[in-house]
Amino acid sequence: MPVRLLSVPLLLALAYALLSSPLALADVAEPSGYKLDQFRSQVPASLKGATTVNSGATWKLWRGGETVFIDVMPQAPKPKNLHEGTFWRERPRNTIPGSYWLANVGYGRLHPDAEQWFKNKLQILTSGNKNKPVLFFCLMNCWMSWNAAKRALSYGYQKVFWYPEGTDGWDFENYPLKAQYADMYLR
Amino acid sequence: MKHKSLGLALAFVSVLCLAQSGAVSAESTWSAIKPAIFQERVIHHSRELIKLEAPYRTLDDRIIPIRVNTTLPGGRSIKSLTLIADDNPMPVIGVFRPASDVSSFGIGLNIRLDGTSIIRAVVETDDGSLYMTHKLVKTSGQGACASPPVSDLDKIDETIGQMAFNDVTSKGAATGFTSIARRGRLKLMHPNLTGLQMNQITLQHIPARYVDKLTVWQGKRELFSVESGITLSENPELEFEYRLDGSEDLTVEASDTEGTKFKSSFPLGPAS
Repeated sequence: MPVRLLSVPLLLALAYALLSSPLALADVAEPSGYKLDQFRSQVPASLKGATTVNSGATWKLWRGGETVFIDVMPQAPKPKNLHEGTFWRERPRNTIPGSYWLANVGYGRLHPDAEQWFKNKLQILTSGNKNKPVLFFCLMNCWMSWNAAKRALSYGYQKVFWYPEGTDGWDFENYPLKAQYADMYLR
Repeated sequence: MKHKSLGLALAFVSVLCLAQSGAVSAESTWSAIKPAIFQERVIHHSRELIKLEAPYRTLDDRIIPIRVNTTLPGGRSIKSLTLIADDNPMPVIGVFRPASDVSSFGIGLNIRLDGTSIIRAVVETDDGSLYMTHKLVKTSGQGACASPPVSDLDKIDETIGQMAFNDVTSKGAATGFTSIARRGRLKLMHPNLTGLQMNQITLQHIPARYVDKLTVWQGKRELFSVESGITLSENPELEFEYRLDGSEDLTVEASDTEGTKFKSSFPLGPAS
């Protein structure tokens, strides 16, 4: 009987091949604009105009010391109208040592004041040099870093790196992490 | 009238933002927040005195059911029950206070979580001792704190503060005895805005507005109160147990951070 050809070991092998193959996931095309929602989903393999780097290449850039590392992990600001005495805690995050955590600059759309804040921060961190290499990251499968890197390109930065694996990939390689607090635009 | 045993079960909905991997470790979070909540007081760990149920991994970070039950031996009574989500920006979920001396207290509530977090239940006894148990809850990454409200905010005023109450006692327990425990479920219409949600038109944060106090009365007798924060979900639900004592109605009073007050009464069945 033909059915017998599909033995259990064969099925298992097939399942393993399907699950372990990168082809099992469809490639995600680069959107023309910014990613507006579903920030935690599969990201494209590239960002046009930027250099996409893996953990090893990112490690080399980090060791090189020339590149400005920018963490764009979002974090909500403390609401302004909380009761006095409400216990609120700004949470630190374990991120790449020496990086700058500019929260909330990777959303699909930014308030004009928030965008100006981001531009100013980039200008300060690069000493106004648009040829200074800048690298953006957040988490694995997080579009925030893709959006932020795309923004930096639109501001005219010439050497933009995108590290899609983010702190997840960095941590996986046992590279060092350091607890830091977020800097963010507050209206 | 002294109630030696009053079980309460609350079902609330609450929580907070993006799932945070690479978060600073759980133990360091607790050591960072513990002094702000309990100062230098000694807290005893006890899985025996406090039972905490919560999913290991959530289905929806905006509506995570948790349940706490505590029973103290030796005639001691419960002063308060504090629920904490370590990694939420406003870590204290709520402080529940039974109004009478009870040795047994239970709540069930739905919370919302910003990301994977340890959930804690801390019981304070009448002699000032603290007991705690905890459980890790892994989130599914929607970031509930900042996730947009489900309600149409332009129409909030039409429904805010409306309440519904149902007797959800299972049939097996409803045998008609005077003091039989009943289980009630309260639903309160309120957006419980976290202050972390973005208005997609103006790209500014929607100001926080949440239920900060809720008190339940049976007739003229207060059952319990709770001081709550943004961890309560939008349109929170609360389950609690009570005992029929001849009171004709159950009254719920709530207030929010805008100072708006809400009140509703619901008829209760006869005591026998």
